Amino acid sequence: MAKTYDYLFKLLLIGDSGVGKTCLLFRFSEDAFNTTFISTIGIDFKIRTIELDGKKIKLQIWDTAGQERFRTITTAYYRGAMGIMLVYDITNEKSFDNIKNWIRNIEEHASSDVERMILGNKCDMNDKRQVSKERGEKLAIDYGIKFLETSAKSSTNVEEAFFTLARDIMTKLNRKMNDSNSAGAGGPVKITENRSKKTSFFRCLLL
Amino acid sequence: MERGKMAEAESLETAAEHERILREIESTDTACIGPTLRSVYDGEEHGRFMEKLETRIRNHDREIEKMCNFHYQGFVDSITELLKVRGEAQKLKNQVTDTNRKLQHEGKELVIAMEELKQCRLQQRNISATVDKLMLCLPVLEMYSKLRDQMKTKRHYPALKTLEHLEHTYLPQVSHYRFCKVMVDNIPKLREEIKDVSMSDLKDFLESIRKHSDKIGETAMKQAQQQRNLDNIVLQQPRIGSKRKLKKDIYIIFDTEIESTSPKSEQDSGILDVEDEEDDEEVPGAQDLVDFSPVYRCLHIYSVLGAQETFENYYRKQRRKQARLVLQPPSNMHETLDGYRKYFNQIVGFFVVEDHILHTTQGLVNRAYIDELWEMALSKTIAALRTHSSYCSDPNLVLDLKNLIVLFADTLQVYGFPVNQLFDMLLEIRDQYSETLLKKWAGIFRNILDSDNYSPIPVTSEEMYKKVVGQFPFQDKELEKQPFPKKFPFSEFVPKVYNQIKEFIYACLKFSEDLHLSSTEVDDMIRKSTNLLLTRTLSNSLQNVIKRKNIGLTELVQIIINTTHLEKSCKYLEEFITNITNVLPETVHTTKLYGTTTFKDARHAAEEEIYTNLNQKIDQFLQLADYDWMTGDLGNKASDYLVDLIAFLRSTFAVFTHLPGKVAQTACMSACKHLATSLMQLLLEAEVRQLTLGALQQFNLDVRECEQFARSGPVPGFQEDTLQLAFIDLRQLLDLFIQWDWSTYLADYGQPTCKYLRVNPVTALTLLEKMKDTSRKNNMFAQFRKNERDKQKLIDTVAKQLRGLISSHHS
Repeated sequence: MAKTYDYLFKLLLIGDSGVGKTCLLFRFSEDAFNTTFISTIGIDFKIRTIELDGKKIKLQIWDTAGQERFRTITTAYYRGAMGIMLVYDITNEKSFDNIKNWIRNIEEHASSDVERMILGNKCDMNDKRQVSKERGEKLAIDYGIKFLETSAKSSTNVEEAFFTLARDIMTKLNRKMNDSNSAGAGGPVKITENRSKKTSFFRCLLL
Repeated sequence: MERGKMAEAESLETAAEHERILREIESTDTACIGPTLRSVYDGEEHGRFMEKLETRIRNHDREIEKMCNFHYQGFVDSITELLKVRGEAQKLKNQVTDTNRKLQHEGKELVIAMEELKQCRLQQRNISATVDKLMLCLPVLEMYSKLRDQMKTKRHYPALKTLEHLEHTYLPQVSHYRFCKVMVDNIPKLREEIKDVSMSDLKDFLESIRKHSDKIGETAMKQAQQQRNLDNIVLQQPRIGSKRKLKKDIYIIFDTEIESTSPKSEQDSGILDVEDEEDDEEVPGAQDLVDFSPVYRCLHIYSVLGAQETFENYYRKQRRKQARLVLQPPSNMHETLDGYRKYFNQIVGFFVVEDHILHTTQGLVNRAYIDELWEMALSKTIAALRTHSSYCSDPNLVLDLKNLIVLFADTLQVYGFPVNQLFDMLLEIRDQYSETLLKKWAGIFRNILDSDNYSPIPVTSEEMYKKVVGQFPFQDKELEKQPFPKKFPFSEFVPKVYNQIKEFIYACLKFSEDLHLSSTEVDDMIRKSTNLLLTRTLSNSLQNVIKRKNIGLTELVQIIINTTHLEKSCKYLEEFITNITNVLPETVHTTKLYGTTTFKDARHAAEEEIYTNLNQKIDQFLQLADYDWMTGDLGNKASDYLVDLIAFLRSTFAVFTHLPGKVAQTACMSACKHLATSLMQLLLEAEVRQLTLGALQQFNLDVRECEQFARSGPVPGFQEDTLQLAFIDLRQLLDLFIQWDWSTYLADYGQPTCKYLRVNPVTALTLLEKMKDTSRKNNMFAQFRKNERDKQKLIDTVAKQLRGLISSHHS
C-alpha cells in the first residue's frame, strides 16, 4: 500500500455542547455548513490532507461530544492528540468560562507537549455576542495559547485555525527531531521513525 | 288772225268743259269735290269758269228766291215750330245727359264690388281645394313625423311599423307630390337606417352582454350556491312543508331584486313575461340583470324586414365568436382563484344568456345550436382546466378550484346542461390534487426532517409528557414510571410526521366533499392517497435523509428508532381514517395502509447506511495504515491506526446503546467482516511484492487486537466467539505462515476437521510468493547458508503443491 502522506497529525476538538465543534470540522473537511444542531454522540472524526512546506499532512481531527455524559469516552482520546482546539461560543458566556475547565482537563489527560489553541466560534453573530474578543485574547495570553475568533457559518478563520495548529505541531516536531537526532534518541512519532529506518534499509541495499 | 280763230274754237270747247264741271260739282258730294276742283285749277280759264260759276249761282239764287217766296209762310211756321222744338229738345238733351252722368256714377261702385266679389269667390274655391289636398297630405306628414320621432327615441320596431303604414296606406294616396316622392325615395334608406341602428343596438347589446356575462354568471352561481345551502338546510329539516315555504320566500327575494335591477323596456316586457311563466318555479332569472330588448327588437325588425335568417346567422356567428373568446382562458388563470372564478362566471353568463334567448325567442337559437356550443364549451373548459390545474402547486388553490368547479357544474345543471364530464374531470383533478398535496407534504416532511435534531425528546414535566403523548400514540409503562426529567426514545420528527400524516388525511377528505361520493369511495380515496403519501413521499423523504452525504451515525440511529415507533403508529392511522369515513376496516373493499413497509424500508436503508458509514470510517483508518512490509524487527504492539480504529469502534458501539440489539449486532459483525476483508486485501495487495516475517508478525499483532475486540463483546447478544469468526480466515492464514505449518495444511487439505480449513490455496500461494521473493532478494547474502537454501527449497515445494491443489480444484 503506497503511502499517501508524509505526516499524520491527530487533532482534537473540545468545548461545551453546542459551541460548534462539529460545524467547524464540517466546514474544514467538507467546506459546508448545516444550520440544524445535531448533538454529537460519543466521538467522530474526519480526515483532511493539507500541505505544509511541501509536505503532505493528514489531519485526523477528532470531534468530541460536548455533553457531560460522554466525558469518559472523550477523555480517552486526549492522550493520542497532538493538537487540541478549545472551542467556545462567543454568544455564550458559560462556554467561555468553561474553557478553564477544559484546559484543566487537558492538563490532566493529554500529553504535556500537546499543542493547544482557543477558538471563539460563531463570530458572525456579533449582535448576540457575550464574550468580547479582548477577553478571549486575554485568556489565551494568560495560558500562553494562540487564539482566533472563527465562524463555521461564514467560513471565517476556520482554515487559518487548523493550519496554524498544524504548523505549530510541525514546528515542534522539527525541533524535536533535530534534538533527537543530535541526542540519538527516537522521536515520538512512529511515522518519522519508519521513514528513517526505510532510508537506512535502502542505503544498505545499495552497498 | 289765226289766234283769233283758234280762240274762238277754244272758247267753245272750254264752255262745254265748264259746263260739265259745274254739273259734276252740283251732283257730287262735297267730299269728293277735290279732283273736280283740281281739274278746274288744271284748266287755264279760271276767270271764265268763275264767271260761269257766278252766273250759275245767280240762277240758283233766283230759283231759291222764287221757291222761298212760294213756301215762305210755311217756312216761317215751320221755323217757328222748329224753334219751339229746338228748345224742348235742348231740355230733353240736358235731362238725358244728367241721367247718364248719374247712372255712370252709380255703376262704377257696383262694378268695383262685383270685381271684389269675383276675386273672393275665386279665392274661396282655391282655399277649399287646397284644404282638401292638405287633408290628404297631413296624415302622411304626421306619420312621417311620428316615424322621425320614433327613430329619434330609438323605438325602431314601431318606427318600422309606421314606415310600413306610411308606405302602403298613406303615401299611395298622395304620391304625386314632390315631398312624397322624396319620402318614397327615403323609405329604403330609413329601413336601412333602422336596420343599421338596430344592428348597432344589437352590437351594443352583444358588447354589454360580453361585459356583463361575468356578472350574470356570478349571480347565477351565487343563486345556485344559495340554493344548495338552502337544500342543505332543508335536508336537516324534517318537514317538507317548511321547505316549500322557504323556497317561495327566496323567490320573492329574487323577484324583488330583479324588479329593482332590471330596466325592462315597455315594448318587450310582454316577451319577458313569457319567460317568467315558464321558468318561474325552477330558476330565478339571473338573466334579468341584462336588458334583452335590443335582441328582441332587432329580431323583430329583421323578421319584419324579411331578413330573419341573416339576423340569426349574424347573431349565432357573433355569439359563437364570443363563446370562443369566453372559453379562451387567460394565460395566468391558474395563478389565483379569481382567475378561475372570472372564467367560470363568463361561461355561466354566456350560457345563461343563450338559455334565456332560447326560451324567449322563436328560433333565434335552437337546441342543436346550444348543444353544439355546450359541447365546445365542455371540451375547451375541460382542456383548459386540465392544463391550468396542472400548473397549480398549491393544494388549497386546487381545493378552492374544485369547489368552484362543483358550483359551476351545479349551476349549469340547473339550466339543463349535461355536466357529467365535469364531474369526471373533477376526479382527474382529484388525482392532481393528491399529487399537489403529495408535493406539498414532500416539502413539509423535508422541512421536518431537515430541522430535526435527531435527539430523543427530553421532557421535564408531566405536562410536556402529556403533550407529546397527545400528539403521538405512545405507551410505555417503564417510561411513565421514570422520574422527570426523562426522554422519549424518539425525536421531534415522530410526532410531527404523525400529525402531518393526519393533516394530509384531512386535506384529502376536503376534496371529496360535495363530489356526491359514497363513504366507501371516500374511504378508498383517502386510503389510496395516504398510501401514496407513506410509500412514496414520506418514504422518499426518509430515504433522501438517509442517503444524504455526510449523514452521521447519530441521525441514522435515531431514524431507526423513530421509524420503529412510526411503524407502530400505523394502526392508529387506520383507526383515524375509519373514524372519519365511518367505513369499517372489515369492509371488503377497503385498502390497507402500507405504512409499515415504508418505515421498514427506511429502517433497513438506515441500517445499511450505518454499516456503510462504519465501513467508510474503517476505510479511512486503513488509509492511515503504514506497514513496513520489509521490516526485520519484531514489533510488540499493534499499529497505531488500528488501535485508534478499534478504540473508535469500541466507543461507537458503547455510545449507541439505544440501537436495537439486532442492528447493533449486525453493524458490529459487518464492521468486523469489513475490517477483516480489508486487512486481508492489504496483505495480499499486488503492490506489496514482498514481505518479511517481521511484517507478518506485526500484522498478526494487529489482527490479534481485532480479535480481542471481537472477543470483548462490544455489543451484547453475541454467542461467545461468533464475532471473532469474522477474522477466522486471517487467523488461519497467519497461523499457517507464522507457524510455517505447511505439512499439516497440505496433508489435511480438504478435510472438514482441517486446522486451516479457511485458508484458500490461492491465497496461501499469493502470500507465499511474497515470502519467496524476499528470500530471493536475500540470496546474495544467504546463498551459501544451508538453512536458507533448504527454506527456499521448501517454499518451492509448497508452492508447487499449492499450484497442484489449485489446478485440481479448478478441473
